[in-house]
Amino acid sequence: MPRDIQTAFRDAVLGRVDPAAFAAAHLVDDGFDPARRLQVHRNNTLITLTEALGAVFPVVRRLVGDDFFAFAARRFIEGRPPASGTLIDYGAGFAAHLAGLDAAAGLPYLADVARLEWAWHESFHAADASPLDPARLAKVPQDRLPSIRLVAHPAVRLIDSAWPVGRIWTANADPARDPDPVSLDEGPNYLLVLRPLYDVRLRFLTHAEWVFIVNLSRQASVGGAWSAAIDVDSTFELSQALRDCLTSGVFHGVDLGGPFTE
Amino acid sequence: MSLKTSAKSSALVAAAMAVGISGAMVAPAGAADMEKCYGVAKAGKNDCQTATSSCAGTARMDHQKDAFILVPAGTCDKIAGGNTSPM
Repeated sequence: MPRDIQTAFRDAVLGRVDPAAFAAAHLVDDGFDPARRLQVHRNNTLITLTEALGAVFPVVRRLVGDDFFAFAARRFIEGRPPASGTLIDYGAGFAAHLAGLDAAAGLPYLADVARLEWAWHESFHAADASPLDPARLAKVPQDRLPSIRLVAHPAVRLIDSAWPVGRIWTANADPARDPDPVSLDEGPNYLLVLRPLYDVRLRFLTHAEWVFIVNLSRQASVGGAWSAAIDVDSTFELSQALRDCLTSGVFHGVDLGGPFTE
Repeated sequence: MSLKTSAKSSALVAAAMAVGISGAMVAPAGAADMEKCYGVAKAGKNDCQTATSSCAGTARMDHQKDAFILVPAGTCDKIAGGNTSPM
């Protein structure tokens, strides 16, 4: 199929040009009305992609209801159809789309819930990797410890929000559960999404812990990350934060900054 | 920060790290997880996306005009309080 026909077909499927006009101009009438045949294809595309988004953003869908979700999804699909042949890549810009959607302006936390769900989805599909064995760090001479750099596990994602989106998410993630009311007065959430083995997990962090791990994931030394964390909260407990990171599988590797003698 | 304070804080950091590392080595695997993690299985983990109704429902998208007023109508009505804009 020539490229201009392909482009016109895509535009007709997405409703960017009049589908009936495209059908009349380009589709052969073989006894089944071309416009209706194209309509079947349009439905297939829109419904399948809406279902794909719904599978990635189940809490957003639950929060707004199926009808509103279908509307928001359709707008997204029409503006940003898949750029990859792999359906699991689809939905990367959905949170930003919700943030700009006038009809969702009354739910200012919605886009951040979508960011969290996308982080979850990315974590689920990230490369498998074994968590860093703390025994490797135990061999490092103590005076060298502050300058080491830790490599984040590939499934680690860090999300912060001015809204309690972690609470909103946990209250709505299980469809069998009727959520208790969540108050937006609960304030910000600092969240860690990780998958040390097979199950994606969500941990609620303090602001300082979150800053610590964000800095480490950006290749700061442990000493540098500690410094950033105590700027946020002077009572930040480094030993406890590091232990929690190591036991929950936040890191995959370590850069010791050169050889040392054991 | 003077060199002396810096060296001192570096020693404190090193000591705290050593405590954290040995704590992680004695902690049973996943101990931290048990306390504050929420593990929820992803719905339809390995399912292919199939839309069973797409061919049957030819009218569904035809009539889905955006002109009517769209109001979110899910569990969002259980989220209340606070200001409507982030602080």
